Amino acid sequence: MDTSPSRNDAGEPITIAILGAGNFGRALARVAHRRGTKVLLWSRKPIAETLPEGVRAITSLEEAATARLLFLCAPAAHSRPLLRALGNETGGGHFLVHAARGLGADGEPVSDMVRHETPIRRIGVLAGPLVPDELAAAMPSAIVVASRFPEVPTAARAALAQDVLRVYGSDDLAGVELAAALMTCIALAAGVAAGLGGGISTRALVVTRGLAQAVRVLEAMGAKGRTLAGLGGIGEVFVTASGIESPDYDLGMKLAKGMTLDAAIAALGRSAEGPEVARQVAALCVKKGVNAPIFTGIAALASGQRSVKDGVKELLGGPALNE
Amino acid sequence: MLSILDDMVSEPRLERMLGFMRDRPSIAAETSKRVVSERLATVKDRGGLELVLNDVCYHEWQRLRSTKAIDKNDRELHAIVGGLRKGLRRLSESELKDALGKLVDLYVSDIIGNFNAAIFTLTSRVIPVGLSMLFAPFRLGRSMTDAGQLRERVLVEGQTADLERLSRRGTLVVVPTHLSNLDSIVIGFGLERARLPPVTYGAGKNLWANPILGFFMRHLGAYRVDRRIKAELYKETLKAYSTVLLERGYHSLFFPGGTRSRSGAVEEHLKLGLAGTAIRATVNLMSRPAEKSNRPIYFVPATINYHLVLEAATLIEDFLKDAGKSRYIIDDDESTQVARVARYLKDTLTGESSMTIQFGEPLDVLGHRVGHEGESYDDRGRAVELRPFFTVNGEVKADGARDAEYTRELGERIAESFKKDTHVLSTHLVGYVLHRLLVKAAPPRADLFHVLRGQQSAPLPIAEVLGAIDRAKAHLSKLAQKRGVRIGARVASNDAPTILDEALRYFALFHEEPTARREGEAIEVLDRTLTYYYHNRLTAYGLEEVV
Repeated sequence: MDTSPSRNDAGEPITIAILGAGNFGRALARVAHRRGTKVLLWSRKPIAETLPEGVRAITSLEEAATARLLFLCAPAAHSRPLLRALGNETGGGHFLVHAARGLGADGEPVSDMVRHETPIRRIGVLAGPLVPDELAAAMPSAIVVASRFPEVPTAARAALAQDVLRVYGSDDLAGVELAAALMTCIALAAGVAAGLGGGISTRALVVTRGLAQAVRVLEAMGAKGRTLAGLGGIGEVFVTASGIESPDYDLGMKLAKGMTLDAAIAALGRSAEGPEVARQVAALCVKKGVNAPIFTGIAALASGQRSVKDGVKELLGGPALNE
Repeated sequence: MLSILDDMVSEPRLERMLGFMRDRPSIAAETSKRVVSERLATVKDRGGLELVLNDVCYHEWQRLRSTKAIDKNDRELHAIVGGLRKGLRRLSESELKDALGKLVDLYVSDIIGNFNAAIFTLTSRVIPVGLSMLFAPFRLGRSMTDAGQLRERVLVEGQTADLERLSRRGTLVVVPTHLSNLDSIVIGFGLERARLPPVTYGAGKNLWANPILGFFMRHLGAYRVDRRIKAELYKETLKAYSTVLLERGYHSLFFPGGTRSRSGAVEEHLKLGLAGTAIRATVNLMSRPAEKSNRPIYFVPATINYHLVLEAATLIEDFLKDAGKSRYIIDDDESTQVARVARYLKDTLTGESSMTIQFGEPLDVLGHRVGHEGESYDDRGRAVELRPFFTVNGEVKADGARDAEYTRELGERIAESFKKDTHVLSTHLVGYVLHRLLVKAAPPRADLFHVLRGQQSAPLPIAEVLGAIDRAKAHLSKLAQKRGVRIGARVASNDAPTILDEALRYFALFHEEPTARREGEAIEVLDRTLTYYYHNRLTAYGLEEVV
């Protein structure tokens, strides 16, 4: 693998822009910096913390758009206005890779949102188990960048790949996007299981059945079920359902302790996509006739229609059929 | 006749096509040169070249062995392929290259066909006259007045003035829906009516043998597409030919459905091989120094809406047989029977506004909306420049994977356009309602074949039919307000009983037996398969919620 500092054809370091300086955006900036890529780290408000040389904090989208490759690291719920503003600064030459774990209103994938709000066509999604501390400690790991345009994973690889980080490509944009979104619900369910005192075998049950149901959802949406066996599916949930780097898992824990959703989110202090994704997936399941009780259960739990106790009783009360 | 010719020559919109005769030899030469040089650039060694020729030999040997109708080109091809089969390995590399060149030349000459220059110049005027000859095939003398009648029978709708302006600024690619072999003639007529320039298009080679259509093909700007040839080299040649035509500014027509819709449904999944050539041509034009001749390419989706479809019975039968075994090429359907075509035209054209051609909003090659002056806009209405979409490290370059994806997205836009520009006509609406009511009357869990082959069930009570027509019309009208579909003028202005009567009148007109008829206070469906065919036109609009 090429681990020399990233260079464009003119031999200069590649510059990327990262939109959103939350946990994930800052982690991605460090990853790129480690590769030797120059980073424009955009956030709405100026960033207080000191950044490594080569990572520059900016607040102008016009300046962000001087980079050809853009990474969108904002929650799905906040993405639309940001994209609309970004659309004024971008054109057909830009690539955009988003790392949102959620879905827009009516289950709209963030890639569709990009398509509608900006002139950008070459769109990708980034997913996978990215644990910043481990990466900083040079522990090998991998992520996936999926796009219908092979140029996009190639560009992302040039900007991010390094000795300890493998950047895989995929052409199943819809699959990886949906898989990553569905994994937030499974992490949340795993958090609930842990919060109720379950052990690792309990979480294994939640994750396994969750994945089986996620396959049905993916296939109903025309994506490849096999994508769940990739980094955006099992790769991601392996980490998040263990309670690492997952706001959804933490949210599940709090819900299990009897907090209401609003109180739990307030206590969490960061955004979690799981509840909204579960609501979208539940609506989708009704429309497509898909049976995915873990997802519909979380939706009911999040909307306060069902208590944690009833939900668990219902999930465990059904007959165990063939896998 | 001569005065018509004089008229035409003086019309600027026809200049381009008249120049075609002059251009032809150089178009052919450029196409051959491109295919050969692109092929040689991608094969790495002698082995690669052998693979290309092997593919041609294999497919052509299969085809020529099983084809009875062999023409002059086929005989030459046979000789080359026969020679190659025996001694491919013994030939030197330069002999192999030579064989490649000969094969491509043969393919090009097969595609270009043999135009008759004198008749070709009559292109656009021949269409209405020719159609009226079909209308009254044995009374040629009256054809001109019948052409006048035809004008009243065929409605042409859309922003045709805008399209006309675009046709002067750039090159048009007209992409219509495809239901009938008459489509190419009908759309040619529509273009003439809209004062749009004539187009060149690829017509299935099987149609050239069709006694009626072949006449038009030979005399219009058609080139030949032989769908029986499976060799990759042939497909490359066909695409290169189309690319060269577009680069040189010849307005073109593709049927993106690839083949006539067998089910009668509006096409959703498009075959975009030829549409991809417009993207390729755009890239080629952009990478050249700016010249006056570098005209942008615009797609013009169009729907052709028939009350009755000439080949409905054959097509739906083929669809139902087995999607997997469906005949890709049908050369013995209704469109080959002179008397039937004449009767079809006579019967359907006696109704009012029998067919409607709807030209949709023009799109650029990336599927963007196009403004009055040919400028492109994104979904949010921002002006966009096309060049960056094709630029790699500051240079405009073709990229197979990227351009295939752009083509797929363009296809989605064209399919959306088809869906919203489909006109709901009485036969579609009544066909839809009758089929749905039959489904509901069938035993629970009966599959489609049960419904279609079912015993003559009790006739459908007329009140039920009328109620369903009202609900379906209300649903579609709501959709039409959101620009999701178009309601035919007569469906829009008439009440349910009148719509039903009109559809039944149409149904009684042409097909072997009336598709459905009124029996007292009930409707009897006599031909369930045809009812299903007309029903299929409206399956994409969520009507199953109301009927």
